[in-house]
Amino acid sequence: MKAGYSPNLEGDLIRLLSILDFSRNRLEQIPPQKGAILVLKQLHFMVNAIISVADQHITAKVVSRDANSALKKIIEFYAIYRSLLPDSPSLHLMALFHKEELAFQGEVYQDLFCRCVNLFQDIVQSYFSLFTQRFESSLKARDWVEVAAGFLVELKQTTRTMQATAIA
Amino acid sequence: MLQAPASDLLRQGIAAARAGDRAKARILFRDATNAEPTNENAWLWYAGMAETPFEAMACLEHVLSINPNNERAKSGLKSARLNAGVAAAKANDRGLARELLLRTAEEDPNNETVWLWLSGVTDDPYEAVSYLHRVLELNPNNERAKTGLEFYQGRIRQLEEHQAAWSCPVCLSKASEPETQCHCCKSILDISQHEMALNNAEVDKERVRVGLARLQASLASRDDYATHYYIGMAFLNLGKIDDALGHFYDARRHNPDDEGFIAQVNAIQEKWTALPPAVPEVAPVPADVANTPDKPTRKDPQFVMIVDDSPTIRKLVSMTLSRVGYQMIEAGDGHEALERMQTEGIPDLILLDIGMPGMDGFTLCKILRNDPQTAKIPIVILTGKDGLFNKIRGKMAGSNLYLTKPFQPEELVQIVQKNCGVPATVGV
Repeated sequence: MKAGYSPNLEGDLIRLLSILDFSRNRLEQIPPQKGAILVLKQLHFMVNAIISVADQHITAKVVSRDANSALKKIIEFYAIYRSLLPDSPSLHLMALFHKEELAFQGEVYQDLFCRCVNLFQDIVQSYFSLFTQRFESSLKARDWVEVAAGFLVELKQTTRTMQATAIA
Repeated sequence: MLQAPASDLLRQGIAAARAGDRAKARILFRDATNAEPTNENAWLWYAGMAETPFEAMACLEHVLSINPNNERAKSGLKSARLNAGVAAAKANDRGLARELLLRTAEEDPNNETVWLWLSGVTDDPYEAVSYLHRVLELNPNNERAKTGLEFYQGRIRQLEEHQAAWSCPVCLSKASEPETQCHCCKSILDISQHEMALNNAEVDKERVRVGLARLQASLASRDDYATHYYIGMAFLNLGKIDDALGHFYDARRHNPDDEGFIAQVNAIQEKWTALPPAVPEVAPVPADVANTPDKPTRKDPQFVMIVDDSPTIRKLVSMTLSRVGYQMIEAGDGHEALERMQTEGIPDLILLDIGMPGMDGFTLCKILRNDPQTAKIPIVILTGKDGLFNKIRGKMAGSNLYLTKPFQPEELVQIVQKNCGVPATVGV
Protein backbone atom coordinates (compact mmCIF):
# COMPACT_ATOMS: atom_id res chain seq x y z
CA MET A 1 0.00 0.00 0.00
CA LYS A 2 1.27 3.48 -0.86
CA ALA A 3 2.59 5.45 2.12
CA GLY A 4 -0.03 7.84 3.43
CA TYR A 5 -2.77 6.25 1.33
CA SER A 6 -6.13 6.44 3.02
CA PRO A 7 -8.93 3.99 2.21
CA ASN A 8 -11.40 6.87 2.64
CA LEU A 9 -9.79 8.84 -0.16
CA GLU A 10 -12.23 7.87 -2.89
CA GLY A 11 -15.27 8.50 -0.69
CA ASP A 12 -13.93 11.90 0.35
CA LEU A 13 -13.24 12.82 -3.27
CA ILE A 14 -16.75 11.80 -4.32
CA ARG A 15 -18.14 14.03 -1.57
CA LEU A 16 -15.82 16.87 -2.59
CA LEU A 17 -16.70 16.63 -6.25
CA SER A 18 -20.38 16.54 -5.41
CA ILE A 19 -19.93 19.81 -3.48
CA LEU A 20 -17.84 21.35 -6.24
CA ASP A 21 -20.30 20.40 -8.96
CA PHE A 22 -23.19 21.77 -6.92
CA SER A 23 -21.25 25.02 -6.39
CA ARG A 24 -20.39 25.17 -10.09
CA ASN A 25 -24.10 24.99 -10.90
CA ARG A 26 -24.74 27.81 -8.45
CA LEU A 27 -21.99 29.86 -10.10
CA GLU A 28 -23.75 29.46 -13.44
CA GLN A 29 -27.01 30.69 -11.92
CA ILE A 30 -25.57 33.90 -10.42
CA PRO A 31 -27.02 36.80 -12.39
CA PRO A 32 -24.30 38.89 -14.11
CA GLN A 33 -25.45 42.19 -12.54
CA LYS A 34 -24.99 40.79 -9.01
CA GLY A 35 -21.96 38.80 -10.13
CA ALA A 36 -18.62 39.65 -8.67
CA ILE A 37 -19.14 39.42 -4.91
CA LEU A 38 -21.28 36.28 -5.06
CA VAL A 39 -18.90 34.64 -7.52
CA LEU A 40 -15.87 35.43 -5.37
CA LYS A 41 -17.58 34.06 -2.28
CA GLN A 42 -18.57 30.89 -4.08
CA LEU A 43 -15.00 30.40 -5.34
CA HIS A 44 -13.75 30.99 -1.78
CA PHE A 45 -16.17 28.35 -0.52
CA MET A 46 -14.98 25.87 -3.17
CA VAL A 47 -11.31 26.47 -2.36
CA ASN A 48 -12.08 25.90 1.33
CA ALA A 49 -13.79 22.61 0.46
CA ILE A 50 -10.70 21.48 -1.47
CA ILE A 51 -8.41 22.49 1.40
CA SER A 52 -10.44 20.52 3.93
CA VAL A 53 -9.94 17.34 1.87
CA ALA A 54 -6.30 18.17 1.18
CA ASP A 55 -5.73 18.56 4.94
CA GLN A 56 -6.76 14.95 5.42
CA HIS A 57 -4.95 13.35 2.52
CA ILE A 58 -1.98 15.50 1.57
CA THR A 59 -0.05 15.44 4.80
CA ALA A 60 3.27 17.06 5.62
CA LYS A 61 5.01 13.75 4.85
CA VAL A 62 3.96 13.78 1.23
CA VAL A 63 4.68 17.42 0.49
CA SER A 64 6.39 17.71 -2.86
CA ARG A 65 7.24 20.40 -5.35
CA ASP A 66 3.73 20.13 -6.82
CA ALA A 67 2.15 20.46 -3.37
CA ASN A 68 4.25 23.53 -2.62
CA SER A 69 3.30 25.12 -5.89
CA ALA A 70 -0.41 24.40 -5.23
CA LEU A 71 -0.06 25.93 -1.78
CA LYS A 72 1.48 29.08 -3.26
CA LYS A 73 -1.48 29.40 -5.58
CA ILE A 74 -3.87 29.14 -2.64
CA ILE A 75 -1.98 31.85 -0.76
CA GLU A 76 -2.12 34.12 -3.81
CA PHE A 77 -5.82 33.35 -4.27
CA TYR A 78 -6.58 34.34 -0.67
CA ALA A 79 -4.47 37.48 -1.04
CA ILE A 80 -6.42 38.61 -4.10
CA TYR A 81 -9.72 37.63 -2.49
CA ARG A 82 -8.89 39.71 0.57
CA SER A 83 -7.77 42.65 -1.52
CA LEU A 84 -11.00 42.57 -3.53
CA LEU A 85 -13.21 42.03 -0.47
CA PRO A 86 -11.21 43.50 2.41
CA ASP A 87 -14.09 43.85 4.86
CA SER A 88 -15.72 40.51 4.18
CA PRO A 89 -16.91 39.17 7.55
CA SER A 90 -15.81 35.65 8.33
CA LEU A 91 -18.99 34.72 10.20
CA HIS A 92 -22.31 34.16 8.46
CA LEU A 93 -24.27 36.02 11.16
CA MET A 94 -22.09 39.08 10.79
CA ALA A 95 -22.53 38.92 7.01
CA LEU A 96 -26.28 39.42 7.47
CA PHE A 97 -25.73 42.92 8.84
CA HIS A 98 -22.90 43.89 6.57
CA LYS A 99 -23.15 45.45 3.13
CA GLU A 100 -20.19 44.34 1.13
CA GLU A 101 -18.50 46.29 -1.59
CA LEU A 102 -15.64 45.59 -3.91
CA ALA A 103 -12.46 47.46 -3.04
CA PHE A 104 -11.65 48.14 -6.70
CA GLN A 105 -13.58 49.05 -9.79
CA GLY A 106 -12.81 49.30 -13.50
CA GLU A 107 -9.75 47.74 -15.04
CA VAL A 108 -8.05 46.98 -11.72
CA TYR A 109 -11.08 44.99 -10.62
CA GLN A 110 -11.23 43.16 -13.96
CA ASP A 111 -7.56 42.19 -13.78
CA LEU A 112 -7.79 41.02 -10.18
CA PHE A 113 -11.06 39.17 -10.77
CA CYS A 114 -9.71 37.35 -13.82
CA ARG A 115 -6.50 36.49 -11.97
CA CYS A 116 -8.56 35.18 -9.07
CA VAL A 117 -10.63 32.97 -11.38
CA ASN A 118 -7.51 31.71 -13.16
CA LEU A 119 -5.89 30.91 -9.84
CA PHE A 120 -9.00 29.07 -8.75
CA GLN A 121 -8.88 26.98 -11.93
CA ASP A 122 -5.18 26.22 -11.32
CA ILE A 123 -5.85 25.31 -7.68
CA VAL A 124 -8.55 22.83 -8.65
CA GLN A 125 -6.32 21.26 -11.30
CA SER A 126 -3.28 21.09 -9.03
CA TYR A 127 -5.14 19.54 -6.14
CA PHE A 128 -6.96 17.08 -8.38
CA SER A 129 -3.59 15.96 -9.68
CA LEU A 130 -2.23 15.71 -6.11
CA PHE A 131 -5.25 13.69 -5.02
CA THR A 132 -4.74 11.38 -8.01
CA GLN A 133 -1.18 10.72 -6.87
CA ARG A 134 -2.51 9.62 -3.48
CA PHE A 135 -4.35 6.62 -4.92
CA GLU A 136 -2.90 3.22 -4.23
CA SER A 137 -2.53 2.44 -7.93
CA SER A 138 -3.33 4.07 -11.24
CA LEU A 139 -5.98 1.41 -11.86
CA LYS A 140 -7.84 2.43 -8.71
CA ALA A 141 -7.56 6.09 -9.69
CA ARG A 142 -9.10 5.49 -13.11
CA ASP A 143 -12.73 6.24 -12.22
CA TRP A 144 -11.77 9.32 -10.26
CA VAL A 145 -9.55 10.61 -13.09
CA GLU A 146 -12.35 10.19 -15.58
CA VAL A 147 -14.97 11.99 -13.54
CA ALA A 148 -12.51 14.71 -12.47
CA ALA A 149 -11.48 15.31 -16.10
CA GLY A 150 -15.13 15.73 -17.11
CA PHE A 151 -15.71 18.12 -14.23
CA LEU A 152 -12.66 20.20 -15.16
CA VAL A 153 -13.96 20.63 -18.70
CA GLU A 154 -17.29 21.90 -17.35
CA LEU A 155 -15.56 24.11 -14.81
CA LYS A 156 -13.40 25.65 -17.52
CA GLN A 157 -16.51 26.55 -19.51
CA THR A 158 -18.12 28.09 -16.43
CA THR A 159 -15.06 30.15 -15.47
CA ARG A 160 -14.57 31.29 -19.06
CA THR A 161 -18.14 32.60 -19.12
CA MET A 162 -17.62 34.32 -15.76
CA GLN A 163 -14.48 36.06 -16.98
CA ALA A 164 -16.17 37.15 -20.18
CA THR A 165 -19.06 38.60 -18.14
CA ALA A 166 -16.67 40.39 -15.79
CA ILE A 167 -14.77 41.96 -18.68
CA ALA A 168 -17.98 42.95 -20.46
CA MET B 1 38.40 -0.30 -19.46
CA LEU B 2 35.12 1.36 -20.35
CA GLN B 3 33.01 -0.92 -18.10
CA ALA B 4 33.97 0.65 -14.78
CA PRO B 5 33.30 4.36 -15.58
CA ALA B 6 30.03 3.47 -17.38
CA SER B 7 28.71 1.54 -14.39
CA ASP B 8 29.84 4.34 -12.05
CA LEU B 9 28.11 6.91 -14.20
CA LEU B 10 25.02 4.75 -14.29
CA ARG B 11 25.02 4.36 -10.50
CA GLN B 12 25.45 8.12 -10.00
CA GLY B 13 22.72 8.80 -12.56
CA ILE B 14 20.28 6.45 -10.80
CA ALA B 15 21.06 8.18 -7.47
CA ALA B 16 20.42 11.59 -9.06
CA ALA B 17 17.19 10.34 -10.67
CA ARG B 18 15.95 8.98 -7.34
CA ALA B 19 16.80 12.29 -5.67
CA GLY B 20 14.65 14.05 -8.28
CA ASP B 21 17.51 15.83 -10.06
CA ARG B 22 16.47 15.01 -13.61
CA ALA B 23 18.90 17.36 -15.34
CA LYS B 24 21.95 15.87 -13.63
CA ALA B 25 20.62 12.34 -14.10
CA ARG B 26 20.09 12.94 -17.80
CA ILE B 27 23.68 14.13 -18.28
CA LEU B 28 25.04 11.14 -16.38
CA PHE B 29 22.92 8.66 -18.33
CA ARG B 30 23.95 10.27 -21.60
CA ASP B 31 27.60 9.89 -20.61
CA ALA B 32 26.97 6.31 -19.50
CA THR B 33 25.41 5.41 -22.86
CA ASN B 34 28.30 7.10 -24.67
CA ALA B 35 30.78 5.15 -22.56
CA GLU B 36 29.00 1.85 -23.09
CA PRO B 37 26.56 2.00 -26.01
CA THR B 38 25.45 -1.62 -25.54
CA ASN B 39 24.32 -1.20 -21.94
CA GLU B 40 20.52 -1.73 -22.06
CA ASN B 41 19.99 -0.48 -18.52
CA ALA B 42 21.72 2.82 -19.23
CA TRP B 43 19.53 3.38 -22.29
CA LEU B 44 16.40 2.45 -20.32
CA TRP B 45 17.22 4.91 -17.56
CA TYR B 46 18.10 7.54 -20.15
CA ALA B 47 14.67 6.99 -21.74
CA GLY B 48 13.06 7.50 -18.34
CA MET B 49 14.80 10.85 -17.93
CA ALA B 50 14.36 12.02 -21.53
CA GLU B 51 13.21 15.58 -22.07
CA THR B 52 10.77 14.76 -24.84
CA PRO B 53 8.83 11.63 -25.77
CA PHE B 54 10.67 11.61 -29.10
CA GLU B 55 14.01 11.36 -27.27
CA ALA B 56 12.56 8.57 -25.08
CA MET B 57 11.42 6.73 -28.21
CA ALA B 58 14.90 6.95 -29.73
CA CYS B 59 16.46 5.53 -26.53
CA LEU B 60 13.96 2.68 -26.31
CA GLU B 61 14.41 1.82 -29.99
CA HIS B 62 18.11 1.64 -29.26
CA VAL B 63 17.44 -0.81 -26.41
CA LEU B 64 15.37 -2.98 -28.73
CA SER B 65 18.11 -2.91 -31.35
CA ILE B 66 20.44 -4.33 -28.66
CA ASN B 67 17.92 -6.79 -27.24
CA PRO B 68 14.69 -7.23 -29.23
CA ASN B 69 13.14 -9.23 -26.37
CA ASN B 70 13.43 -6.52 -23.70
CA GLU B 71 9.86 -6.37 -22.39
CA ARG B 72 10.36 -3.13 -20.45
CA ALA B 73 11.58 -1.40 -23.58
CA LYS B 74 8.66 -2.78 -25.57
CA SER B 75 6.05 -1.55 -23.12
CA GLY B 76 7.93 1.72 -22.61
CA LEU B 77 8.05 2.29 -26.34
CA LYS B 78 4.27 1.94 -26.55
CA SER B 79 3.69 4.66 -23.99
CA ALA B 80 6.52 6.82 -25.38
CA ARG B 81 4.97 6.58 -28.84
CA LEU B 82 1.58 7.53 -27.41
CA ASN B 83 3.15 10.49 -25.58
CA ALA B 84 4.99 11.49 -28.74
CA GLY B 85 1.72 11.31 -30.70
CA VAL B 86 -0.02 13.44 -28.08
CA ALA B 87 2.87 15.94 -28.09
CA ALA B 88 2.73 16.13 -31.89
CA ALA B 89 -1.04 16.63 -31.76
CA LYS B 90 -0.62 19.43 -29.22
CA ALA B 91 2.02 21.02 -31.46
CA ASN B 92 -0.55 20.81 -34.28
CA ASP B 93 1.60 18.42 -36.33
CA ARG B 94 -1.43 16.32 -37.25
CA GLY B 95 0.33 14.15 -39.84
CA LEU B 96 3.03 12.96 -37.46
CA ALA B 97 0.54 12.63 -34.59
CA ARG B 98 -1.72 10.48 -36.75
CA GLU B 99 1.14 8.25 -37.87
CA LEU B 100 2.39 7.69 -34.30
CA LEU B 101 -1.07 7.19 -32.85
CA LEU B 102 -2.11 4.77 -35.59
CA ARG B 103 0.98 2.71 -34.89
CA THR B 104 0.22 2.75 -31.16
CA ALA B 105 -3.37 1.74 -31.88
CA GLU B 106 -2.17 -1.23 -33.92
CA GLU B 107 0.04 -2.37 -31.05
CA ASP B 108 -2.41 -1.64 -28.26
CA PRO B 109 -5.97 -1.68 -29.66
CA ASN B 110 -7.54 -1.70 -26.19
CA ASN B 111 -6.09 1.65 -25.18
CA GLU B 112 -9.00 4.10 -25.27
CA THR B 113 -6.70 7.14 -24.94
CA VAL B 114 -5.09 6.35 -28.31
CA TRP B 115 -8.45 6.16 -30.09
CA LEU B 116 -9.58 9.35 -28.38
CA TRP B 117 -6.53 11.27 -29.55
CA LEU B 118 -6.77 9.73 -33.02
CA SER B 119 -10.27 11.10 -33.34
CA GLY B 120 -8.85 14.55 -32.61
CA VAL B 121 -6.18 14.48 -35.32
CA THR B 122 -8.26 13.19 -38.19
CA ASP B 123 -9.91 15.51 -40.71
CA ASP B 124 -12.68 13.11 -41.66
CA PRO B 125 -15.66 13.28 -39.23
CA TYR B 126 -16.80 9.76 -40.23
CA GLU B 127 -13.39 8.39 -39.32
CA ALA B 128 -13.41 10.35 -36.05
CA VAL B 129 -16.83 8.92 -35.19
CA SER B 130 -15.57 5.38 -35.83
CA TYR B 131 -12.63 6.00 -33.45
CA LEU B 132 -14.95 7.43 -30.80
CA HIS B 133 -17.28 4.45 -31.13
CA ARG B 134 -14.25 2.32 -30.48
CA VAL B 135 -13.54 4.31 -27.28
CA LEU B 136 -17.14 3.84 -26.14
CA GLU B 137 -16.94 0.12 -26.86
CA LEU B 138 -13.96 -0.03 -24.52
CA ASN B 139 -15.46 2.30 -21.93
CA PRO B 140 -19.16 3.18 -22.42
CA ASN B 141 -18.97 5.91 -19.77
CA ASN B 142 -16.11 7.93 -21.27
CA GLU B 143 -17.55 11.44 -21.13
CA ARG B 144 -14.95 12.97 -23.44
CA ALA B 145 -15.76 10.40 -26.09
CA LYS B 146 -19.47 11.11 -25.70
CA THR B 147 -18.89 14.85 -26.04
CA GLY B 148 -16.61 14.27 -29.04
CA LEU B 149 -19.16 11.96 -30.62
CA GLU B 150 -21.88 14.59 -30.26
CA PHE B 151 -19.57 17.16 -31.87
CA TYR B 152 -18.62 14.98 -34.84
CA GLN B 153 -22.16 13.70 -35.30
CA GLY B 154 -23.24 17.35 -35.43
CA ARG B 155 -20.63 17.98 -38.13
CA ILE B 156 -21.77 14.94 -40.06
CA ARG B 157 -25.37 16.14 -39.79
CA GLN B 158 -24.32 19.53 -41.14
CA LEU B 159 -22.48 17.86 -44.00
CA GLU B 160 -25.39 15.58 -44.80
CA GLU B 161 -27.92 18.37 -44.60
CA HIS B 162 -26.13 19.91 -47.56
CA GLN B 163 -26.45 16.67 -49.48
CA ALA B 164 -29.70 15.18 -48.18
CA ALA B 165 -33.17 16.55 -48.64
CA TRP B 166 -35.15 13.96 -46.70
CA SER B 167 -34.84 12.15 -43.37
CA CYS B 168 -36.67 9.03 -42.21
CA PRO B 169 -39.23 10.11 -39.58
CA VAL B 170 -38.60 6.90 -37.63
CA CYS B 171 -34.82 6.47 -37.50
CA LEU B 172 -33.84 9.98 -38.75
CA SER B 173 -31.39 8.63 -41.34
CA LYS B 174 -30.90 10.94 -44.32
CA ALA B 175 -31.55 10.30 -47.97
CA SER B 176 -31.34 12.41 -51.10
CA GLU B 177 -35.05 11.86 -51.90
CA PRO B 178 -38.14 10.60 -50.01
CA GLU B 179 -38.29 6.84 -49.58
CA THR B 180 -41.31 4.59 -49.06
CA GLN B 181 -39.02 2.10 -47.34
CA CYS B 182 -36.21 3.56 -45.26
CA HIS B 183 -32.80 2.40 -46.47
CA CYS B 184 -31.54 2.36 -42.89
CA CYS B 185 -34.20 0.93 -40.55
CA LYS B 186 -36.03 -0.76 -43.46
CA SER B 187 -39.43 0.31 -42.16
CA ILE B 188 -42.24 0.81 -44.67
CA LEU B 189 -43.47 4.40 -44.41
CA ASP B 190 -46.40 4.38 -46.82
CA ILE B 191 -49.76 3.24 -45.43
CA SER B 192 -50.85 1.96 -48.85
CA GLN B 193 -48.19 -0.75 -48.41
CA HIS B 194 -49.59 -1.85 -45.03
CA GLU B 195 -49.48 -5.54 -45.95
CA MET B 196 -45.77 -5.31 -46.66
CA ALA B 197 -45.29 -3.34 -43.44
CA LEU B 198 -47.06 -5.97 -41.33
CA ASN B 199 -44.97 -8.76 -42.84
CA ASN B 200 -41.76 -6.77 -42.91
CA ALA B 201 -39.10 -9.34 -42.05
CA GLU B 202 -36.11 -7.17 -42.81
CA VAL B 203 -37.06 -4.29 -40.49
CA ASP B 204 -34.44 -3.28 -37.91
CA LYS B 205 -36.68 -3.61 -34.85
CA GLU B 206 -34.15 -2.07 -32.50
CA ARG B 207 -33.91 1.14 -34.52
CA VAL B 208 -37.66 1.29 -34.97
CA ARG B 209 -38.27 0.88 -31.22
CA VAL B 210 -35.84 3.67 -30.42
CA GLY B 211 -37.46 5.88 -33.08
CA LEU B 212 -40.90 4.96 -31.75
CA ALA B 213 -39.94 6.00 -28.21
CA ARG B 214 -38.68 9.33 -29.57
CA LEU B 215 -41.85 9.91 -31.59
CA GLN B 216 -44.07 9.03 -28.62
CA ALA B 217 -42.12 11.34 -26.34
CA SER B 218 -42.48 14.12 -28.91
CA LEU B 219 -46.28 13.73 -28.78
CA ALA B 220 -46.22 15.76 -25.55
CA SER B 221 -45.09 18.81 -27.52
CA ARG B 222 -46.30 17.96 -31.06
CA ASP B 223 -49.60 16.15 -31.09
CA ASP B 224 -50.31 16.30 -34.85
CA TYR B 225 -51.26 14.22 -37.88
CA ALA B 226 -47.70 13.43 -39.01
CA THR B 227 -46.53 12.26 -35.59
CA HIS B 228 -49.50 9.92 -35.13
CA TYR B 229 -49.17 8.69 -38.71
CA TYR B 230 -45.51 7.72 -38.32
CA ILE B 231 -46.06 6.22 -34.86
CA GLY B 232 -48.77 4.10 -36.47
CA MET B 233 -46.43 3.08 -39.29
CA ALA B 234 -43.69 2.19 -36.78
CA PHE B 235 -46.17 -0.01 -34.89
CA LEU B 236 -47.25 -1.64 -38.17
CA ASN B 237 -43.63 -2.46 -38.98
CA LEU B 238 -43.31 -4.04 -35.55
CA GLY B 239 -46.46 -6.09 -36.18
CA LYS B 240 -48.56 -4.29 -33.51
CA ILE B 241 -51.70 -3.69 -35.49
CA ASP B 242 -53.98 -2.61 -32.61
CA ASP B 243 -51.52 0.03 -31.42
CA ALA B 244 -51.03 1.17 -35.01
CA LEU B 245 -54.76 1.54 -35.55
CA GLY B 246 -55.07 3.59 -32.35
CA HIS B 247 -52.62 6.13 -33.74
CA PHE B 248 -54.16 6.08 -37.21
CA TYR B 249 -57.51 7.02 -35.60
CA ASP B 250 -55.77 9.93 -33.88
CA ALA B 251 -54.15 10.94 -37.17
CA ARG B 252 -57.58 10.83 -38.79
CA ARG B 253 -58.95 13.09 -36.06
CA HIS B 254 -56.27 15.69 -36.95
CA ASN B 255 -56.89 15.39 -40.69
CA PRO B 256 -60.53 14.25 -41.28
CA ASP B 257 -60.57 15.35 -44.96
CA ASP B 258 -57.92 12.95 -46.23
CA GLU B 259 -60.20 10.35 -47.82
CA GLY B 260 -57.35 8.26 -49.21
CA PHE B 261 -55.86 7.86 -45.74
CA ILE B 262 -59.23 6.99 -44.17
CA ALA B 263 -59.83 4.37 -46.86
CA GLN B 264 -56.47 2.80 -46.10
CA VAL B 265 -57.20 2.74 -42.35
CA ASN B 266 -60.57 1.07 -43.03
CA ALA B 267 -58.87 -1.45 -45.28
CA ILE B 268 -56.36 -2.33 -42.56
CA GLN B 269 -59.14 -2.68 -40.03
CA GLU B 270 -61.27 -4.90 -42.26
CA LYS B 271 -58.46 -7.10 -43.31
CA TRP B 272 -56.40 -7.52 -40.17
CA THR B 273 -58.66 -7.13 -37.17
CA ALA B 274 -61.87 -8.54 -35.84
CA LEU B 275 -63.13 -5.07 -34.91
CA PRO B 276 -66.30 -3.63 -36.53
CA PRO B 277 -65.49 -2.19 -39.98
CA ALA B 278 -66.54 1.40 -39.38
CA VAL B 279 -64.04 3.85 -38.00
CA PRO B 280 -65.27 4.84 -34.54
CA GLU B 281 -66.43 8.41 -34.06
CA VAL B 282 -64.48 8.83 -30.87
CA ALA B 283 -60.88 7.85 -31.35
CA PRO B 284 -59.35 5.58 -28.72
CA VAL B 285 -57.00 7.10 -26.21
CA PRO B 286 -53.47 6.97 -27.62
CA ALA B 287 -50.96 4.68 -26.00
CA ASP B 288 -49.20 6.32 -23.11
CA VAL B 289 -45.90 7.96 -23.89
CA ALA B 290 -43.88 5.48 -21.91
CA ASN B 291 -46.07 2.49 -22.69
CA THR B 292 -44.27 1.03 -25.67
CA PRO B 293 -44.34 -2.59 -26.75
CA ASP B 294 -41.81 -5.23 -25.89
CA LYS B 295 -40.26 -3.21 -23.10
CA PRO B 296 -37.68 -5.59 -21.69
CA THR B 297 -37.97 -6.35 -18.00
CA ARG B 298 -35.05 -7.31 -15.82
CA LYS B 299 -34.89 -10.27 -13.54
CA ASP B 300 -31.77 -9.05 -11.77
CA PRO B 301 -32.81 -6.72 -8.93
CA GLN B 302 -29.71 -4.54 -8.81
CA PHE B 303 -30.07 -2.09 -11.66
CA VAL B 304 -30.21 1.60 -10.81
CA MET B 305 -30.81 4.38 -13.32
CA ILE B 306 -29.42 7.87 -12.75
CA VAL B 307 -31.06 10.62 -14.79
CA ASP B 308 -29.16 13.89 -14.50
CA ASP B 309 -27.95 16.45 -17.02
CA SER B 310 -24.62 16.84 -15.22
CA PRO B 311 -22.15 14.16 -16.38
CA THR B 312 -20.16 14.72 -13.20
CA ILE B 313 -23.10 13.85 -10.95
CA ARG B 314 -23.97 10.85 -13.15
CA LYS B 315 -20.44 9.54 -12.88
CA LEU B 316 -20.21 10.24 -9.14
CA VAL B 317 -23.45 8.42 -8.43
CA SER B 318 -22.35 5.55 -10.67
CA MET B 319 -19.00 5.36 -8.90
CA THR B 320 -20.67 5.39 -5.48
CA LEU B 321 -23.25 2.73 -6.26
CA SER B 322 -21.15 0.47 -8.47
CA ARG B 323 -18.65 0.23 -5.60
CA VAL B 324 -21.35 -1.53 -3.57
CA GLY B 325 -22.39 -3.84 -6.39
CA TYR B 326 -25.16 -2.05 -8.30
CA GLN B 327 -25.30 -2.01 -12.08
CA MET B 328 -25.78 1.52 -13.35
CA ILE B 329 -27.64 2.97 -16.33
CA GLU B 330 -27.01 6.66 -17.06
CA ALA B 331 -29.28 9.08 -18.91
CA GLY B 332 -28.88 12.82 -19.52
CA ASP B 333 -32.57 13.77 -19.67
CA GLY B 334 -36.10 12.36 -19.62
CA HIS B 335 -36.16 11.38 -23.30
CA GLU B 336 -32.87 9.53 -23.05
CA ALA B 337 -34.11 7.79 -19.89
CA LEU B 338 -37.15 6.47 -21.75
CA GLU B 339 -34.97 5.33 -24.65
CA ARG B 340 -32.55 3.57 -22.31
CA MET B 341 -35.48 1.79 -20.66
CA GLN B 342 -36.61 0.63 -24.11
CA THR B 343 -33.23 -0.78 -24.99
CA GLU B 344 -31.78 -1.85 -21.66
CA GLY B 345 -34.82 -2.73 -19.59
CA ILE B 346 -36.60 -1.32 -16.60
CA PRO B 347 -34.35 -0.47 -13.66
CA ASP B 348 -35.13 -1.33 -10.05
CA LEU B 349 -34.69 2.22 -8.82
CA ILE B 350 -34.43 5.60 -10.48
CA LEU B 351 -32.44 8.56 -9.19
CA LEU B 352 -33.88 11.60 -10.88
CA ASP B 353 -32.79 15.22 -11.20
CA ILE B 354 -35.50 17.85 -11.60
CA GLY B 355 -34.01 20.59 -13.74
CA MET B 356 -32.96 19.06 -17.03
CA PRO B 357 -33.13 20.26 -20.63
CA GLY B 358 -35.79 18.59 -22.76
CA MET B 359 -38.04 16.56 -20.51
CA ASP B 360 -37.65 17.56 -16.85
CA GLY B 361 -37.74 15.26 -13.83
CA PHE B 362 -41.34 15.97 -12.81
CA THR B 363 -42.66 15.13 -16.29
CA LEU B 364 -40.63 11.92 -16.47
CA CYS B 365 -41.80 10.95 -12.98
CA LYS B 366 -45.46 11.41 -14.00
CA ILE B 367 -44.96 9.43 -17.22
CA LEU B 368 -43.37 6.56 -15.32
CA ARG B 369 -46.12 6.54 -12.72
CA ASN B 370 -48.81 6.39 -15.42
CA ASP B 371 -47.21 3.39 -17.10
CA PRO B 372 -48.25 0.10 -15.44
CA GLN B 373 -44.82 -1.39 -16.16
CA THR B 374 -42.94 1.36 -14.35
CA ALA B 375 -45.56 2.53 -11.85
CA LYS B 376 -44.01 0.63 -8.94
CA ILE B 377 -40.34 1.58 -9.45
CA PRO B 378 -38.98 3.55 -6.49
CA ILE B 379 -38.08 7.04 -7.69
CA VAL B 380 -35.68 9.14 -5.63
CA ILE B 381 -35.38 12.78 -6.63
CA LEU B 382 -31.79 14.02 -6.36
CA THR B 383 -31.65 17.73 -6.97
CA GLY B 384 -30.02 20.99 -5.97
CA LYS B 385 -33.44 22.63 -5.48
CA ASP B 386 -34.35 22.29 -1.83
CA GLY B 387 -37.49 24.46 -1.54
CA LEU B 388 -40.67 23.13 0.02
CA PHE B 389 -42.60 23.88 -3.19
CA ASN B 390 -40.33 21.59 -5.21
CA LYS B 391 -40.58 18.86 -2.58
CA ILE B 392 -44.39 19.00 -2.81
CA ARG B 393 -44.24 18.95 -6.62
CA GLY B 394 -41.94 15.92 -6.44
CA LYS B 395 -44.34 14.14 -4.12
CA MET B 396 -47.29 14.99 -6.36
CA ALA B 397 -45.43 13.71 -9.43
CA GLY B 398 -45.05 10.37 -7.64
CA SER B 399 -41.52 10.33 -6.24
CA ASN B 400 -40.77 8.24 -3.16
CA LEU B 401 -37.96 10.32 -1.67
CA TYR B 402 -36.37 13.72 -2.07
CA LEU B 403 -32.60 14.10 -1.66
CA THR B 404 -30.73 17.37 -2.06
CA LYS B 405 -27.32 17.96 -3.57
CA PRO B 406 -24.50 17.91 -2.68
CA PHE B 407 -25.17 14.32 -1.77
CA GLN B 408 -23.41 12.25 0.87
CA PRO B 409 -22.25 8.94 -0.66
CA GLU B 410 -23.06 6.91 2.49
CA GLU B 411 -26.56 8.36 2.72
CA LEU B 412 -27.19 7.65 -0.96
CA VAL B 413 -26.06 4.03 -0.61
CA GLN B 414 -28.29 3.55 2.45
CA ILE B 415 -31.32 4.95 0.65
CA VAL B 416 -30.74 2.86 -2.46
CA GLN B 417 -30.21 -0.29 -0.39
CA LYS B 418 -33.38 0.40 1.57
CA ASN B 419 -35.51 0.92 -1.53
CA CYS B 420 -33.94 -1.51 -3.96
CA GLY B 421 -32.37 -4.26 -1.85
CA VAL B 422 -28.74 -5.07 -1.15
CA PRO B 423 -26.99 -6.56 -4.17
CA ALA B 424 -25.51 -10.02 -3.83
CA THR B 425 -22.07 -8.71 -4.78
CA VAL B 426 -21.75 -6.22 -1.89
CA GLY B 427 -18.24 -6.01 -0.61
CA VAL B 428 -16.70 -7.38 -3.78
